[in-house]
Amino acid sequence: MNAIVQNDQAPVLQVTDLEIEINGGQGSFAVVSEMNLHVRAGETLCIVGESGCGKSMTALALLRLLPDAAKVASGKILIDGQDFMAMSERQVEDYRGEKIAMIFQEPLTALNPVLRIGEQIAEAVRQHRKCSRKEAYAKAVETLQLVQMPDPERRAGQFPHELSGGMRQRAMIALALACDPKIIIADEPTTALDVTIQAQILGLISTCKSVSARRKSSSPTTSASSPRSPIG
Amino acid sequence: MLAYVVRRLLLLIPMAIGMVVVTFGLLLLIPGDPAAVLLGQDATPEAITNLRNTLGLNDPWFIRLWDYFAALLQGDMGRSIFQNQPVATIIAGRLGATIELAVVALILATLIGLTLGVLAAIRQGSWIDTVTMLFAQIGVSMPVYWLGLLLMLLFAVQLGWLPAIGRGVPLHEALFAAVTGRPQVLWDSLTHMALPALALAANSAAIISRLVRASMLEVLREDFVRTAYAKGLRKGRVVVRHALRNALLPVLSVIGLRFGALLGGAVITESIFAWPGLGQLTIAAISQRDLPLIQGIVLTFAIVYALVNLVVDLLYAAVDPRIRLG
Repeated sequence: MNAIVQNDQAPVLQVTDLEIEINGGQGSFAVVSEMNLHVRAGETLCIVGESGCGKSMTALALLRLLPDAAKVASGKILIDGQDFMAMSERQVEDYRGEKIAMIFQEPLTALNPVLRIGEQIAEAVRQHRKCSRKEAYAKAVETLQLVQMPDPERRAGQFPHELSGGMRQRAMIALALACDPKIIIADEPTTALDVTIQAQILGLISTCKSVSARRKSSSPTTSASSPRSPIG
Repeated sequence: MLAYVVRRLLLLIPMAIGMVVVTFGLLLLIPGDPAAVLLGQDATPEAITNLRNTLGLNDPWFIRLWDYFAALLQGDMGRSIFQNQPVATIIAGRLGATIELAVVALILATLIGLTLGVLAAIRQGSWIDTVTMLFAQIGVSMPVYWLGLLLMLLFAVQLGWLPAIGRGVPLHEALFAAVTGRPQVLWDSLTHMALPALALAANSAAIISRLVRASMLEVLREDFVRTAYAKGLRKGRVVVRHALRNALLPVLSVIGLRFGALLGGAVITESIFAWPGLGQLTIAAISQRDLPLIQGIVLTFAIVYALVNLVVDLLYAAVDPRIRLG
């Protein structure tokens, strides 16, 4: 059964008049301005644009993870109707991974090189769920299975450098899915991969969305992805 | 891993041979005659010649070197000219004190260096960062003998909190005593240890804190740190588990190298604080031109240093799974 998308639902993510500024040597300048979007449960929204147009900056702003030099100058980000920008750092930490998660571009650098894949996923589970170390690890293996990682038990015990590029991206996706977030942001999730694996990963994200939608019909996964720009 | 350890241990042999040859050559070059020192200012030339013959100092250098190696292979490091005891026995009696001081100083330097370095990095540009870097600058610039005297003046002479010189009960015995219900023995041992260990650790702590700060600042900008935040982890956990563990890699190798500096620093520190270790013995052996003793001490320092660096290399592989020893 596919997820039933009800377009009259309240958006799980709503961005209004977002403006992001970067502090350069000669004052600050806007890299994103008047950004408006909303995503309802079960929807996929793609942001397409040339290189440097602010896609990644927007994605990072949605998690309040902008680099030090950048800041949200104005605008509103509502997650599940809650004002994300007005939240305390502790509340934001509770939202990250649990309500809104992100698949980063380059899994080789985005995964910690000295921690095992399973540990990295289990760590996210333990942060948001009350469970033992063992249960969290089991959940990590289960999530790796969900993203069709071959031999998930063994891969969970390996380090990022021991996996192929495609497997690393699957691990990255598993990391984002681990706590069943309502919103998944995928920032050019296939950039570092060859064309065949790119197709597999995009297919996988789509499958995961459907699986997630079936599992919890009230809050299907939403993915705002930004495919590679035809210009940049 | 085992093969690697065995190979590294076997490499100690050529290193030890090289050390003995270099030390022997240097001792040939430095002026001064142990026989003259031993007999005193009023000794006649005949007496000095006779003693040199007895000690074998008149033999050609290659015969002396060959004899030394032949004895060394049988575990004999020779006899001290002045103390008339086997060098191995003298060193064995003193080595524990020096290792104890150097290890405590290394632990102290690592703890101080890591704490200050991490604080400075996560609070970059704040007053903590400024104070830490000021401390690091002072620590790097201040010679150990000067700092040692200042610490002694403040804590022993002015405040009277800590003993100025000497060593309490050896630390391992003091720990055993504390376990068996005599904590005052451990306290006494630690108070004796405090000043020399702090004086010795300051320079290394300063170097480690600067390195940790630089390394942490670099790692904190890495993508995987951002991923850790994106998972919802608390800042403390991200800093300790994700950033620090990666930042430790370059620091570990420096910690190994610092152990050599600590052994060298112990030579001076032990003289200032009358710490009965190898350092004090080294000063005495050099001033007396006690050639077999100097050679024995240098060889011991070299082997200890090499072993510590082997342990550091093994730790390096344990911390970073990308490193394969082999």
